[in-house]
Amino acid sequence: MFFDPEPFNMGLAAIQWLLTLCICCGIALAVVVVLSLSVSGVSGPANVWRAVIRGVRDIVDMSPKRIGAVASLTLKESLRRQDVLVGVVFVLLFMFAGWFLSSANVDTPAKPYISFVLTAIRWLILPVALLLSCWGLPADIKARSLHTVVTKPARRSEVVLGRMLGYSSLMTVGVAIMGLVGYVWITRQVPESAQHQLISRVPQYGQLTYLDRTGAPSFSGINVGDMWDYRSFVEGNTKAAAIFTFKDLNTNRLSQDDQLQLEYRFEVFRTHKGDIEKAVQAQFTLVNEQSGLRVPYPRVPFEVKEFADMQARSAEDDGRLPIITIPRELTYTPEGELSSKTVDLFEDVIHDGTLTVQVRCVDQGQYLGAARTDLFVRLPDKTFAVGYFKAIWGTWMMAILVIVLGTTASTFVKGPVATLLTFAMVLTGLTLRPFMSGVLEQYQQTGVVQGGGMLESAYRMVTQMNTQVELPGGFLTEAIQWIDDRMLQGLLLLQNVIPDFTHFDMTPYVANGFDVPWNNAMMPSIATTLAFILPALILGYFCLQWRELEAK
Amino acid sequence: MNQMSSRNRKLVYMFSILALLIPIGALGMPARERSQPGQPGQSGGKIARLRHEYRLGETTLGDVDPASATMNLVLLGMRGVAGTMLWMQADEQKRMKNWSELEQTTESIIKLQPRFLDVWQFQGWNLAYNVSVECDAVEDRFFWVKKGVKFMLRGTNQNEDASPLYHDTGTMMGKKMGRSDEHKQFRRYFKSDPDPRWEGQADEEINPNGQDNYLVAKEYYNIANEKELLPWVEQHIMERTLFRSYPARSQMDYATAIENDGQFDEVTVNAWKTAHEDWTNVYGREDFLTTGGGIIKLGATDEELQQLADEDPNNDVASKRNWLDRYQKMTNYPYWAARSKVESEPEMVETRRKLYEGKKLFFKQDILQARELLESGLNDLQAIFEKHPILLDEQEMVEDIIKSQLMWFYVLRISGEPNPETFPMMNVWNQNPALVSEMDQRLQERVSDGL
Repeated sequence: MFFDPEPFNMGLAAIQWLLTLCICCGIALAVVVVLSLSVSGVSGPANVWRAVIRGVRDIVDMSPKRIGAVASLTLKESLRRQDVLVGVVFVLLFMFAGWFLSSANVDTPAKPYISFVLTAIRWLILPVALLLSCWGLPADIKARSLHTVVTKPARRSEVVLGRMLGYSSLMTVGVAIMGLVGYVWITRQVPESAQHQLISRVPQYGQLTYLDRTGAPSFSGINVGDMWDYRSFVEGNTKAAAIFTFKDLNTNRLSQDDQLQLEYRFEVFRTHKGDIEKAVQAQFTLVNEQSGLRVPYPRVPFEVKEFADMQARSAEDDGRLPIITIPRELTYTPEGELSSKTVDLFEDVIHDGTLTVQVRCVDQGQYLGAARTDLFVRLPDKTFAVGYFKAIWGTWMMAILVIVLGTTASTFVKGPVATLLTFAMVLTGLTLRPFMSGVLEQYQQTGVVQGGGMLESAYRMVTQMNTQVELPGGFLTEAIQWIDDRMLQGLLLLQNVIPDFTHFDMTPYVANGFDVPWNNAMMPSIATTLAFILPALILGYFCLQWRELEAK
Repeated sequence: MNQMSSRNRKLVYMFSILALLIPIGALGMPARERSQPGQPGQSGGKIARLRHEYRLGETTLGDVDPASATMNLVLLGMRGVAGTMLWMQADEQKRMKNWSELEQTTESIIKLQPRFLDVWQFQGWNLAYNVSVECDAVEDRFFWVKKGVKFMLRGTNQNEDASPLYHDTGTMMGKKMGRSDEHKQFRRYFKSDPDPRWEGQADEEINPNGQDNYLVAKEYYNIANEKELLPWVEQHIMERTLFRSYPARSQMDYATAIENDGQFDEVTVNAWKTAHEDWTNVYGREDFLTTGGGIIKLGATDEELQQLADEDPNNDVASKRNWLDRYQKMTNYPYWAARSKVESEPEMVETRRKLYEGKKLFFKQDILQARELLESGLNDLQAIFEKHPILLDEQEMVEDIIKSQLMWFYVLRISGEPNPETFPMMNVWNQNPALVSEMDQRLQERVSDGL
């Protein structure tokens, strides 16, 4: 797995959220004012103002008791409708999953079992949350039961929030049960040889820079012609090196173990066969940038265990684990000196919580490939349950967001349309989001998108014109590009109102034996869900307020 | 309106049901036991027997995987879409070097398409060839080659008559293990697996008897040939005469490989004898339908050729001879017949030993001993090739001779002696100046690198 170690910027996200909320409210208000002018004349804006004031009051003065009552009714109604029957599908899936996952192959790792459980839970919870939330209110309106509720002293904001809470509590119970069953199933089904893979490693990543073959700082290493340019390579037996700088290391905690573990997953590229039975070698140099202290470790270069974490061949052989354990006391011979010296890792090498590790390839003519996540400080492991239940938390957050979106959609459209609308949002947020982000990032950085926007792409496809060829000049091209430009600008605004569902999928972390990090995974998922609750409540309230409840 | 009472109507219904059950049972009763492929169905209803006869049932193709059947059923006709997505996913995982997930995706693909031979061939090749070369450690490479082989073996279990799968399995065990850059290690690991699970023995999933890789490959080539004879089986890997030569060629590869490993004893002699037997008395006796000359046998004598012509109204002896000559050239039949015969003679094995030892001593810088052995070996070769000039038709043999000559010259130069005006196998030297130059350069490089 290839993690993005960049932490989630909560402050920036909050500012962006506030801006988007203000812009959306402003646009909605402007549209409503214009509509009110056309319907009620000059008194229209005053009516809008009164509605807004009432709305603010209805939202601020919500009664927890009444919300609780609506939520409780929602829960009872869901149980009566036997929505929990999805549990049967869950049980069936788990009864027969062993058929698909286990094979005669004893090398099967734990990964497919973990992936299966987390994926199954996510895809079982998703449709239930979707259907429950999208069909509840329209069904009430159709049965006129909502008509009865709104005549009581219950605010419509309380109805919307109560609905959301009711469905959320049901989903919470569902996710909790499935999560527990899934956990027990994993621990029982994973083969004995792969049980050790059920852990939660805690990595601390650093920053990566390079030195070229002359020893000068370089933006990147060498591209060895691999189509996948994730890693950059350093040339062996030259001054080229990959430099990892780990900051903010908790030396107090680490020094309790009297050692530091570094785990790597470098890739090797050979330009000649060399000694085929001998792996390409690398060496670390631990550097204190302040004092200039340079300690080579291990004292003799180590053989790079390429892809060792990806195949079960290494499972029974701890010697193959790609881990370098650095003891507290380091003995080395400084360059140009004959006598050895001993230094303290935490006192002399790590300075102010910062450790720099230079990685060099030792063999001439061979290359060592490194990416930022290829070397990390391995902090003390956590139990598998920690990572697993964090991933379940992610699924729970997703279910709540789907409920929030579905309930809101059901306040202004009927059940089938609300389902389609919410499903489209989930699908876009889940599958198209990375593509959309890539396109918009390119647009923001360069002002253009390779191959153009929607119309230009369509034109190129129809005329079978590749993306490198210039469009023919003329009015049509200008018109296409102008429209595409406006659409991309619109998409720039719109991207903030389409939730990024990829934040909720924490399966890759757990399946690869890593803990789910707070900064990179937990926080974005929580922030995404929270960000949509208030806007959805406001939208749901006003839509339900203005909806003709007599209509079926 | 029906005048029958309710009870009578029910009785009529019941008897009708029973009456209908008899023909349904006779027609549709499932087979009680799985009959062997190629044999008529012995049990079950008429439909079951017909299904077996026309090879329409799942069980006639090979093992039925319940997981695979369930998955295809659950997908409700979306198997194509799911399969395409999985293929794309596998390609992406390969690009991102995510081997463990690639393997799992491959597992899912075969659950969806267990009878689609291309899946087994493509993905098996992918694991054994493309993934294995990405690894740096030889043990890791061997691990992935084994994965590919095991994958193919599962393919043969689920497609019992698929001759191409058996053939490809043989190729992986034979050529992949025996001719890669890492062939020395692979051949060793094949008999003594580096995985601690096998405690120094062969991986019993692919080599239960701990045999040489070429001999196991030969077994699979033999099965491929057996299956290829079944009337409903087709192979489109290569021309049939070449396809069927693989068991004998694998036996020759085995004999060559043990010589390259330095084994020159009775085992080597017997290996070549078996190879000669396989080539001339098994492969050479087979009937092959030519494109224009009817049926021929590659090892046919003049009398047999006459007999074949007598049985064929469309082709006379001249035509048969013409087509035999074409097919013999295509398969290099006379060369391999002569080579296996000569190599099985103890004199040739001894000559090989001398050259092998000579080269080994050369690299150990034992110049005197090397000179003696190389000279003696080349002289012996000269005598053998004078009797069997056809052996020089193959480039491999020519290269072997030139390599020995170059080393011998090198030893002479070191000893301060000039190159002799005449020397053994001089014609080979004179006929291949470009090859001599190229090989000389390679040897010089190796010598300057410290041998």
